[in-house]
Amino acid sequence: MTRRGSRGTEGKSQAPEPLTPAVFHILLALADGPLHGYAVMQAVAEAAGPSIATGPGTIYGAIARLQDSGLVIEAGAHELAAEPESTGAGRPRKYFRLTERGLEALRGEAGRLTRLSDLVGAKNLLPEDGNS
Amino acid sequence: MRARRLGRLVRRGLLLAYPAAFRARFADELLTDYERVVTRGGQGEPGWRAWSRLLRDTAVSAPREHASRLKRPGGPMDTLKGIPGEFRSAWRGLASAPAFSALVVVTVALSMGPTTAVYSLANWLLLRPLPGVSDAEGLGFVRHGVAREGGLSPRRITYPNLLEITTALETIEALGATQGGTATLLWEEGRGQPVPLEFVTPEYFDALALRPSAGRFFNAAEDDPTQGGAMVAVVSHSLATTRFASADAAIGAEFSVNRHTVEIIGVLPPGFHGLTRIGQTDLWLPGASHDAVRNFSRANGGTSRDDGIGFYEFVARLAPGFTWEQAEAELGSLAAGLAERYPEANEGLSVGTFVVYPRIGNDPLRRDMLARSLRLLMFVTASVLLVGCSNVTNLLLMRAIDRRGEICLHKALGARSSVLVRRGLLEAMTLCAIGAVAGLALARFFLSAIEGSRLGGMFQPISRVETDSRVVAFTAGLCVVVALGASILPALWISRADPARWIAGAGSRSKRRSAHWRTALIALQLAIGVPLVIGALLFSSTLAALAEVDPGVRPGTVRLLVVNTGDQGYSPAEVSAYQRDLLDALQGETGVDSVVMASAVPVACCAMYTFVADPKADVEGTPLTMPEFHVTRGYFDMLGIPVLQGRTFRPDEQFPAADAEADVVIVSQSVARHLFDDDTPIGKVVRFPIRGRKGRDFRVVGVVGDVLTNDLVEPAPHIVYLPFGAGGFAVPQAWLLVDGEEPAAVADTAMKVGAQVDPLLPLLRMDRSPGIREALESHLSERVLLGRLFTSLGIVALALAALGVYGATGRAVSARRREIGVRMALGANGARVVGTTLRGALGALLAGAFGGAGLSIFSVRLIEGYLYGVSRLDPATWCVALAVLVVVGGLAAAVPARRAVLVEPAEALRQ
Repeated sequence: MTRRGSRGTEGKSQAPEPLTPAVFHILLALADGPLHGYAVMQAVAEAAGPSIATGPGTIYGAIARLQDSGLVIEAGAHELAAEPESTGAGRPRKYFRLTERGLEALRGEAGRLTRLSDLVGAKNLLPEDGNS
Repeated sequence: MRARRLGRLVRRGLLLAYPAAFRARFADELLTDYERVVTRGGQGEPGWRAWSRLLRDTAVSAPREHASRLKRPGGPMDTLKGIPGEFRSAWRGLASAPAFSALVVVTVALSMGPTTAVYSLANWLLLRPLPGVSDAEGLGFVRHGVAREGGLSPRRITYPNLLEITTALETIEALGATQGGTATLLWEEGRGQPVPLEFVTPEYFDALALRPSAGRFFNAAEDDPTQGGAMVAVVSHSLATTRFASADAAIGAEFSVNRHTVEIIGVLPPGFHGLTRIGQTDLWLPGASHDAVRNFSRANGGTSRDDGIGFYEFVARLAPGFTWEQAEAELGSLAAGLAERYPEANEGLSVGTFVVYPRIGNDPLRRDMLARSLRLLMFVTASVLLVGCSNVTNLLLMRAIDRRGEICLHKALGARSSVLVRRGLLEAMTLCAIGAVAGLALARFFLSAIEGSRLGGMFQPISRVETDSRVVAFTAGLCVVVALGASILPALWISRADPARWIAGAGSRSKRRSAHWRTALIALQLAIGVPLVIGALLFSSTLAALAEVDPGVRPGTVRLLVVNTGDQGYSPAEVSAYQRDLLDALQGETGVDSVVMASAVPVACCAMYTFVADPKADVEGTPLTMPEFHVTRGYFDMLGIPVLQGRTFRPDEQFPAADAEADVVIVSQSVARHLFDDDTPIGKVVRFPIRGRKGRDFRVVGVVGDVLTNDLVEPAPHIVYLPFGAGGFAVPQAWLLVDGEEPAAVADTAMKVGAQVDPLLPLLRMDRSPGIREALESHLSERVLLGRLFTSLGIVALALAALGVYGATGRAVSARRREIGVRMALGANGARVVGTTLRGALGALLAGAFGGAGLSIFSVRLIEGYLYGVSRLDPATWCVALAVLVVVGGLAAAVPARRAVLVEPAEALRQ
């Protein structure tokens, strides 16, 4: 672990940094339980619409970085509610789940967004009939 | 089915866009999801849209993954960040071994300096575009003439023909005509100065894509032959700025060229002096003004198709999409068309041919000779570079072996081989970089030795060779190549160093292997040194043989000046009158011992002589011609040419009246033998068809010794001497030869007196070959240069090789100190011990000698053309060279080997 890496970890434990929309949506998708990459992709696409890129390369790249930073880990077979699906090569698919730190980061971001939403609501910036 | 297979292939192909580590982690997942996206996931949307989403996703995410891989801890970016630290560590390591570091730096500098110098020269002569010339790739020379052995006999393309050719040309974008010469330039006040000029058409500047520093170039109206050409000039930047404060200030100024007032309308970019790198042109005039400026009148004016103003040299810019072969073919067919349409006026075109020489910058007819000289220089310097490289390899290998313990310790503590190899490479890079910088400085020294020499038969010596960013880039590249090349063997050794064997105290297998490599490297160095030593000896023999050549003249202290009354509009009588006045004025000057005038001078550069037909030519059926030298009285005395029979010319025989019939001639010894066999020729009458006047009789009054003219290695030509101005012929371009105790002062006096006799007609001082002695030296300059180069670099190569032998033998003695001690203790005598120690060095010496002899068989072919009086396979030279190698190598090995005898057995056993 480099010195730079350890400083980043310390920073996170004190005041979680804001998550990018893509990361937030991936963590949000995993909040319901372990999912494989394609399911994450679908969940993000459904929740965020076309505003967030949800191609396989993008999603697995994001998951790889989340794994590297300890927010997401690969779920064991015993953690799955059902039999895991198989890949085209016949091997069981990889499922991913949130870690404690991932959950904490998700909660932190959700709280931040809620506060932001309250603030926007208090300012009456949005028209009454349209909040999209 | 096929579409599905293709789809699968494409999906697998997409995966390749990602880094290998990412593929290893998610390949299965990605392939499964790709399929879902394209098939099931794409329900409701066209297949092409699903594919386009996939491609877009790959195009965005794959570069991101690569960037992420580079930035991750331990990734390449991290490695790069670690390099400054490793560099500092390497620097500290080198500082702790100053002798080793200094040796490598000196070796690299000595081996890279000459190579860099020769690259600078080749870059300057061949690669670098002429100053101010844009897009030099599409430029070439075009010449027109009748093919003959070794070149072309020029044939002019007159203006009417040129106009038709340039209008019809498709393969050539711009065809500029040029004709060189010299003229007398005179500013408002003061004395005239000779200036090299070119008469050119406006397309000359178009073809070169030049932009004026100030003003403009000629236009078509100013180069109209029917109007005689405008009296306007474009001048070089140096000519403009030596006279005016700036190039702009020169515009509109007037001066006189051959007594015609000419206005400056443009100034060329700085540094441009014509179409060749060693060009010296300072003045460009419209081609159509040629006859007017040269005070030359043609019977039918300058515009006629058959004998008008014309050119045989051109510069061409190739049109896009065409080749030079196509251009040459088109020029030929256009000329043939003209010869067909105007047969009477175009006799020259029907027999002539256009020859295209791609690229400009150097004389196209001497390119082969120049290439030969440069190839030889490259061979010599590359040899030294190779010797230096192998020496550096040897030194780095020895250092790695010395640090075996440190390397094995690092490995035992978990250091990766790649890190240790990288550290070694950084050390080599650092030393090579310092050596390369020193080599650049050394290159300047080598270049200064080359400057002033005439390479490849050039008429002009090489002036200051400028280095540029290309040379620096070459040196940097060479530095990297040398560092990488020299680090291969040490890197292999480091990667194979085995900590377990070191800890167990066992000898290293790779250490023994490295000893073989070191011996091989030393043998290589010695082998490369042999051709250089042989070359140096052959050049030395050649120069000694050339020093023995008798040119037939006494070099003495004679100074040469050129009297050029041509282009001044003088009548023949005026020319003779001026020359007579000049001689008379100089006769009485203080310090001037003797003064003569002649149309030609032996061995001097660019002898200006004409020819007479050989009277025996018809008899023998050989179209021989003989140079005719017009000389004044005193010529033979001044030059020390012996009068073998008869007498020299009398005063009344020179500058005869126009209607007087000159009837005396002096012939050289070879002419006497040729025409009169062994009879005495004095008093005999010989009929020379001089200048077309057939059947003119001359009485031979003297026979003089043979002299060499332009080349010391060619036989003396048959020369016929006539009294100066014989038969009422003027010699417009002549040599003035002055002699006195103070040569430089005598030349100054001649210049001063010349200006007094005619202020508008300056004498031209021969700065580079002011006398016969300098002219002789000039003929030898290339051989002297190559001889010095071979000698100095041969010494460098031998010294480096000797250093390698010394180091290797010294190491062998140190490594076997204990063994030697045991042998000595057991009664071995010193000679036997020394012999055993020398075995490795002797092997390298023998291998080097044999290998060097083999290499030399091929390499001496490169210098064969420069040799004189010695064969390239001269046995004595080869024996001496090999003996030098053996003696130097033997001494280098013997000094450390002797230390083996001094080993104290008791002390060695205690260790």
